[in-house]
Amino acid sequence: MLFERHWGGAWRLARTVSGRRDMADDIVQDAFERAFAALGRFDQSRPFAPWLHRIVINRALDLLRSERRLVGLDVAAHPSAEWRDVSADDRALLEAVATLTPQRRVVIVLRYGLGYAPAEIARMLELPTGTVNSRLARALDDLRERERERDAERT
Amino acid sequence: MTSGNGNGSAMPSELERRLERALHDVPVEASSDAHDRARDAALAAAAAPAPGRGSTWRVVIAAAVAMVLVTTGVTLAATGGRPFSDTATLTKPPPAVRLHTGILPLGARAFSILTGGRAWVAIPHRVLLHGAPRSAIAVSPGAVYVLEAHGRTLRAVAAGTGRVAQTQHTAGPVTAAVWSPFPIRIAYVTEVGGHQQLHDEWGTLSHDYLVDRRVAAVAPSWRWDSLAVAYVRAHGRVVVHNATSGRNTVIPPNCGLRHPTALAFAPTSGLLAIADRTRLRIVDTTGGAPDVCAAHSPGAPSIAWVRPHQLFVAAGTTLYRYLLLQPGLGTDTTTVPARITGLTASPDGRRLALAMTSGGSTRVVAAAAPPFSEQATPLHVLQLLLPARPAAGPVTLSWQ
Repeated sequence: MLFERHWGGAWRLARTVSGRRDMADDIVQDAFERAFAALGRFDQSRPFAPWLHRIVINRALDLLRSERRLVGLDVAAHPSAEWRDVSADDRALLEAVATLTPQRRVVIVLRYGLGYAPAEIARMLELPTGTVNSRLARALDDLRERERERDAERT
Repeated sequence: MTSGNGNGSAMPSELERRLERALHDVPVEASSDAHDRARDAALAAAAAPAPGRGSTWRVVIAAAVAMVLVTTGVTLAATGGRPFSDTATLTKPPPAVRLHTGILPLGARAFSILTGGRAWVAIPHRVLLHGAPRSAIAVSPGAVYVLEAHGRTLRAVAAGTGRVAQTQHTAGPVTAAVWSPFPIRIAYVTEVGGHQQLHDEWGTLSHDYLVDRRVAAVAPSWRWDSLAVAYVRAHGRVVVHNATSGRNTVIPPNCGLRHPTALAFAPTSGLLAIADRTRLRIVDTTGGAPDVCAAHSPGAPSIAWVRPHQLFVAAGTTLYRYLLLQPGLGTDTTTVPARITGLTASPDGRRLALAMTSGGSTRVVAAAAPPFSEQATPLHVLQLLLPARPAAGPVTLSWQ
């Protein structure tokens, strides 16, 4: 029940934070393994999802970092976005999200993909709320810039 | 373009609305087995002892997780069972019960495990091998001798004394060895020049006879009367070799099997079970009864007969129990939250030994053979035979 309820959301989170479909499977498996192994340390008075999502994010960032060490900065900094079964507009936006820095990508996905409030994101990532808001604002600015560039290329 | 507020305190911009839609609608395109692998890994992790684990969760885990192996007669989460809930509020500590451990199943005369080039062999009151490097292992019926292969050397060791009774140098590394039910003959597979060869010889490791130069890397199986051995040729055809006449009988293909990876003779007849990654075929090699065909979950199969007309086949995470009827086939399944990578049955057919792999580790347990049941029957684990160790492919088990 716990696994089934959260697996899909965790996979989406892993997919969007990593920007990689092939990496998402491993991230989610690893995250669930760690989460379930540490259930004893989990405060049951708190919701499970944010805790799991934080583990997913940490694993995604860890894997991206380790991959960057292995294959070089370019690949990891601009993970290939292989979005299928989404509209062209959404695909362009998701590809733009994939080009954000990991820190900005994380807050964007948590805020708009999973609907966490900035204060919740701040608690999850152990950051000041102001930092989260700042990252969100800068991430949105980055995305707008990407859109402008894309529009300019079209014209 | 409106400026992004990010904190949700103002009306979302068009970009934010598009982000919500795009990110919320991201399709889950996981690979086909990703869900099951993650679930198995999670369950295995939950079952593993962890320092500092809170008592409440320990109860939840002990009560519900399958591969747990922390309680006697623990229930391996069976068909469809999911162990956790978001609102688990159990507070009582788990009952203080013990799971028997040790390589030898209770009541067994001998038991062996081979995986990843390591072997464990135990007889009552004595562990003969404990993770020793061996490429093949075979305990003789009655547990009198242990046949062990290391490099190009095949040795028969007296189980009671540890004395080396016979030694043989083979043409290549031995990859499988099987005693006949009457311990007078041995069939072994050796790798020579990149090919697998099947040999048949006396139990004294003499009178070695090359049966076939091109066989598949599948353990052969002796018929109950020790007069014939079945094996798989390199191209996938199954052959029954008559050890007295030297005559080979090719089993015509049927049931859609392509490349069999497991085969096993029934304990008291010429019925031969053959399985590939998705199908099972039971062929009567001596009586001419019609073939029985069945499909199973994709995965490397293991076969264990428990009665003259009943057998278990493990494939993927499913344990199938088959009952041969006249005509037809009765089937029952038990699903466990781990991939079954090895299977054998006790001589009386009432218990099973299973190697279960998940989360990168493999355990071997003894369990009661699940009965036929209209309801989902949990797997009742009786004993932990080999604690978790890094998974290293298929596990060959034998129970005397």
